[in-house]
Amino acid sequence: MSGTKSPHGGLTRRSFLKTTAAVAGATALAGGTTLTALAESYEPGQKETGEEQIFCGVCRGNCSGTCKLNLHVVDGKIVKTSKRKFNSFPDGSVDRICLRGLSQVYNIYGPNRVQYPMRRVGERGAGEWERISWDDAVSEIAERWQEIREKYGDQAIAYTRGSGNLGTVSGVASPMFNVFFNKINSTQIKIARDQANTRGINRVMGNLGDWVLNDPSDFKNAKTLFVWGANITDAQLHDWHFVAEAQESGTRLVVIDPIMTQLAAKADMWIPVKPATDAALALSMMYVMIEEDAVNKPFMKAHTCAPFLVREDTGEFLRMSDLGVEPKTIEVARTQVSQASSANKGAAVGQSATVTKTVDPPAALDSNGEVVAVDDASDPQLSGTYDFGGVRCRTAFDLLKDDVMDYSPEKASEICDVPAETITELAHIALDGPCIHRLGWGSNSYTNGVHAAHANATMAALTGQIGYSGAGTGVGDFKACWGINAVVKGMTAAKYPMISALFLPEIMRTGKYKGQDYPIKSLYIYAGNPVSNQVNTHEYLDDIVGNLDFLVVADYAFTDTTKYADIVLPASHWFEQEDVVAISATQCFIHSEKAIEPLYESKPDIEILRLFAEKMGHPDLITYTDDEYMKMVIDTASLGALGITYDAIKENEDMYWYPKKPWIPWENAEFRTDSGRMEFYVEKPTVQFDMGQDFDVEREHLPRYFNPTEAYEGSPAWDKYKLILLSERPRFRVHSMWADNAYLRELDPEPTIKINPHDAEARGISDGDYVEVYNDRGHCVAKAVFNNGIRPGCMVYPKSWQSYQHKAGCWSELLTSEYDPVGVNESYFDNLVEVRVWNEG
Amino acid sequence: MAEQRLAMLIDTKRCIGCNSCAVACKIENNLPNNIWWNRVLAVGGDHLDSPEGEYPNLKMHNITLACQHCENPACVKVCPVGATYKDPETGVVRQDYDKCIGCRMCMAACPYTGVRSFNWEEPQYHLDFAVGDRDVAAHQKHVVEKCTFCWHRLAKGLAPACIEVCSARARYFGDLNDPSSEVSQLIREREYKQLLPERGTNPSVYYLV
Amino acid sequence: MTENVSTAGAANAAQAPAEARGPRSRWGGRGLNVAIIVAAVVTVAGLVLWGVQLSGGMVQTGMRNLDSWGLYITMFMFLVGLSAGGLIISSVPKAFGMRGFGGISKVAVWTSICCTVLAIGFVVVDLGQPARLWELFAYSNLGSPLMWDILVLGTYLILSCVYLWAQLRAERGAMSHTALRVISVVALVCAVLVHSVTAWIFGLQQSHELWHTALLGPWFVSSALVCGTALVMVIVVALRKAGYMEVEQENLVKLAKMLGAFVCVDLYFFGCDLLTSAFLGGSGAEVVQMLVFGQLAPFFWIEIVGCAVCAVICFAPKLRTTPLLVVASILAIAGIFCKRVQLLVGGFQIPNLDLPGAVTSMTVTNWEAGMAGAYQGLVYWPTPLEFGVALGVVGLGALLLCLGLKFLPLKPAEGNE
Repeated sequence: MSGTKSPHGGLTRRSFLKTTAAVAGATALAGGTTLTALAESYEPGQKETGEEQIFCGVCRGNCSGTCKLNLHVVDGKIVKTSKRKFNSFPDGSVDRICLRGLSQVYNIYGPNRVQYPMRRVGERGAGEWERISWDDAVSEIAERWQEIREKYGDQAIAYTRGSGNLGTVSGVASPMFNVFFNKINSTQIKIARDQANTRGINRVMGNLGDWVLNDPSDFKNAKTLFVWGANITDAQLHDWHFVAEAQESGTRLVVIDPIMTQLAAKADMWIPVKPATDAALALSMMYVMIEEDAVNKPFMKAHTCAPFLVREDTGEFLRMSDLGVEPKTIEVARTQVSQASSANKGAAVGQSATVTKTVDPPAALDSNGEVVAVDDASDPQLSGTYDFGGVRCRTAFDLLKDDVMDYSPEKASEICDVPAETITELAHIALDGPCIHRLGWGSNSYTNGVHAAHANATMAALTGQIGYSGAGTGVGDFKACWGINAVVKGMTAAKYPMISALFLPEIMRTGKYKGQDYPIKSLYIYAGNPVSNQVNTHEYLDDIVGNLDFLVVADYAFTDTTKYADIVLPASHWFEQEDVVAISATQCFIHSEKAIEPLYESKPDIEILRLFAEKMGHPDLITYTDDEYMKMVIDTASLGALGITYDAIKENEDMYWYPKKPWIPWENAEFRTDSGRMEFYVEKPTVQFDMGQDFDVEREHLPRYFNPTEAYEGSPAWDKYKLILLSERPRFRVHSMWADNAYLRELDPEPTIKINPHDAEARGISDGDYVEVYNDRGHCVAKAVFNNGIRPGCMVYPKSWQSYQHKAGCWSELLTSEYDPVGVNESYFDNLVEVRVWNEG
Repeated sequence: MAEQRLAMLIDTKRCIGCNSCAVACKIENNLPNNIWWNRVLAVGGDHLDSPEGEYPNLKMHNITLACQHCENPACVKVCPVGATYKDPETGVVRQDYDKCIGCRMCMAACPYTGVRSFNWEEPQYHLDFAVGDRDVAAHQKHVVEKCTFCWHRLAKGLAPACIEVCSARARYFGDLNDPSSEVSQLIREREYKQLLPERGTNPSVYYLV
Repeated sequence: MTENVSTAGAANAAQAPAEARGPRSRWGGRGLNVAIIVAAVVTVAGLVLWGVQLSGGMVQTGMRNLDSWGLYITMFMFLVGLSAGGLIISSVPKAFGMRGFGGISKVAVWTSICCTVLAIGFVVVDLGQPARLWELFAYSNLGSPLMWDILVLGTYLILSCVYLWAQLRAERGAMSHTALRVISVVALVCAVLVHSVTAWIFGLQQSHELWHTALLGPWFVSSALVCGTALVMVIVVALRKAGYMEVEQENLVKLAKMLGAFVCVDLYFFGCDLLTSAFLGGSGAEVVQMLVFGQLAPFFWIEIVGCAVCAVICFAPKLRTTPLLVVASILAIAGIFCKRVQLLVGGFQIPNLDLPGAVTSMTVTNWEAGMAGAYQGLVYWPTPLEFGVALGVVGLGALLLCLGLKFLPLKPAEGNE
């Protein structure tokens, strides 16, 4: 408490105790001793006690906050949580807790916990269960898996997850799931979220890890912070104070979002862009930059593909090998890449430390007209044409200019609904660097999302504002640690390649994958709730669940997914197990202690795997202790060089895993593409996830705007449905976690749909009416809430209510499973719907 | 004249209405079901997170509202048994649950709509054990309660729970009688407003604008 | 043949057959006994419901945090008015030596005492912790208007009983008329004070614009005079009809004229208050709008129209028939009751801070409609339980009144004026 004269603010024991008459013996107020029980009566069932133990825990859901918490334990129960100081950041800038971390006590002790293994007795989804013992459960699972493997092949067992636990022992960063399932040659189903941004950025900059951006503490060093489609104030509220501090120190905040979020309300400029058109806006800004000749030429010459000559016949770079220069082969160290989204860690088994790289430099025109390897040119030309034996070759920058010419501010304005003058103004602001562009999941959630990210990355190539303080472009939520070891003892390579969750319905329908028979008969789901959080619920239930012989779900609470399981296993809550977080917005390893014993019969996920391994005939597979596995994962040479070991993490509670603060990716413009430069012209476009799909290669070389699948005026669905359905990640939940949290439900009691009053009134809907939102895929009933901040023609639903909380339907019923073959990404916003008053019950 | 004048400052430029402060108070004080001492209120449209104006010419911001711990509290004057009183050392307006006869005169006298709450039923809780701090006075049926500036934390030299948890770092607490305190400095440096100043209660909560 | 007449706070009186019955201190036949039994049953039922309220919680009422007072305090105000008014009517003639009202004086005082007990009863049933009532005397905060009211009400109750006793002694010649006159002056002052203090519970609060006016004290007194006079008139007419007492028609007319005058004063005060609120526009206009056109409009117009009609009846000789006078009195009483509703509910109807926020079942009565919706209609309406408890308290008053009529020598003494 600041500004007080004495350590206890002048409060004497006597005055403090004036509250109640009789007082249990209180200890004296000296040196910060905690006062013992003052209230003369306690709640029923609570015993009087003097001891409170405090444990260090990490709240680790998908918000990426990974807040470090004090877990206050009294009489063996966690009674409250509070924020705990980070040792890695003495300035307190990442000390935090939010309303969800604060209400964890209910998640732990509430009635929705899965208490013991359960077997379905009624129809799938009827909610009728019988309790069984762990032994029976695991035996049955092992038996049925054996049967299925014998009948259909090993690949018939599949496993998948959500993001319900960012831990490394039992969470999504854990190698143990791959250890077990690779051993029995199961099929890993890769979740397909947030991939459009990944593809769009990574194909320009290379893969430094899924989502990288300057640390939020760097925002204040930017002249302008552009936030593209990110709802920081609801979805990453732990980052908001960095933005506020930046604003207070003079950084201008520009927010590009169709909806007036709390963030947009705080912005210096809010650009109410039309949904799914961010690419057009970015391209138009580039038009202005190019037309005014304001691009950063030295940067483009030195660090981008701009001067590369592109062959008209192949669309690929003209290389020195075309000109007769022998390529060289070298060994380079395998680059470390962090993985936030799912990968099979067994892929690293047997990998050598080095890879063979072919060096065949792209060619560029030098100022003297000669064609040389680009890095040998004294002054590589950004524009020019070269005749290569009848094949015309033009520079990548010229091709980009042609591409961008379609997006004059006047033309782009018609697409994105931002006035031409504003676009020009934004271009000038972006040129006046350094600027940071933080991309969110907004534009990512349409089937044209790859290009939106590609466009932003290209703009960074033109301005050169990347890789130094105050300058950057990227997605800013999570960072996953490099330098950890994916391979632990017992890990084998996966026999079968991963399958994208988006492709699973088709495989289940046809029984085929890439032309071959590929029966999948059982699915194991952990740390996730795909029935609620994945697109197109009816398709998920009909095609996936409907075609499964055996569905097993492990979770700590009942969800829309456990509802359809054949066996539900009780997983322990985060604070009932020890773990380490290696995926975090704080960029720290954080140790999470076990504060209480697992409730009921729940077990940590790694324990469940041990039981599986034993019963499936591999009793020696997962025999090391959790600590030993963590040492295998964390005690690497590169981390050791930073002083980081598992034991050190346990001792220090949290350890920052980069060599310097703040972390700024792409320093020294060292990109991870083949050329080491920003390749905004994508020479050989690839898909984010290969399943043998076709795609239009030509479309992918350069960023451009094209309509998404459904969410635009004039789409095939537009005849019947005229409202674009967007979602928000509300502050009251992290996906579907906390959906049943009674404390938060007092503030946010039921599903709502936010609608602009004009759209509502045109449909005879009054504020507070129950309405049915519907399209061909399904329906959902919620309470209409008028909100002028919702763009007319759109509606916004706070996501992840569970179906029992709706009067009918649920949100994910409405969502399309169409995907862009390049991004292979769940396009959550690419949906049209209509809405009407709902009168039934 | 109190020895200290404890006051709370809320920066409305930073507040994003996340409700962390409301929930912190709820848990820390083991509030009964449906009772909230600290609430987020929207300044804009008719609902939380909704702005005023026509799209896209809109604006909104948030305030949080709890007991204002007034210097001239209307509630203290009218309580017939003195169950609500102003602590002379700190300026905190306190509530003695044991004394309260449940007449609710204080609730009628307080101009700040909704900061005082009455336990209309036997306190119900979502969990069968008390959450939050052990030193919080037990809640009683049929008495009035409200924000205590986390008196039990003040005694330990800690700031109220809502101050600590604000993710936007928009909340400040301290002694206005100490010119070197953070709150005194902010009052000097920043523009601020107070709620219902015309009612003459002289609240100890300031909203930085 | 029995005839039952009911008014708020009044008893079921019975018309006895023409012959006088029993000794002078007992009165009333089967009818009154039935009334007593009925009142007793209602009282017991009320007590039971009060017990239900205490055990199951006041959540069973319609009151919530943003509308934290309701039917009980409305009735409290109303009954204090009836009580004070009744005593004023009783003591003014004595105090000023006016002739012709002596006969009704004791009944009026007894009615007033019953109303006082009811008023206190309503405060008690409104308390969350009635068992802690003793604290009012152990920990009194003498700066609190509520405390003042408790003290004054208590004093008033005792004084009323003393006054009644004094009247009885004066009748038997055991007390001088001067002494009685002194007591009646003190009673008069106390009655005025009682309702002024009750007014100050609201009038001194800055929290609600509707309440905060210096006019409220005098206004409550004028309202008390209106409904007190009206109540006395009704009871007197009923008792005359029942053969309990004789009252000259001209005295009734005098009462009626007084009633008319009081109504005019009351409406005048109302007019001043409305004008003052509306003139500046802004928040005052909002208050006026709520009363005249808004959620409280039914209560407003019943009062205005009812009181106007009452005044007309009282002043127009042709209309001043006994039945119409009873109607006028009932209208006046109903009007003042509506005034109390306007004041209490109206105070909560306009929130000072109406910003939207999360609303729970404890926040406001119509919470499911959110902050905006909760204030669309009346912010508060009593639940059946509240009506039941209120009826029980009223039943207690009726019981006391009937018992008094039966057992106490309240009839006008012969030769007494």
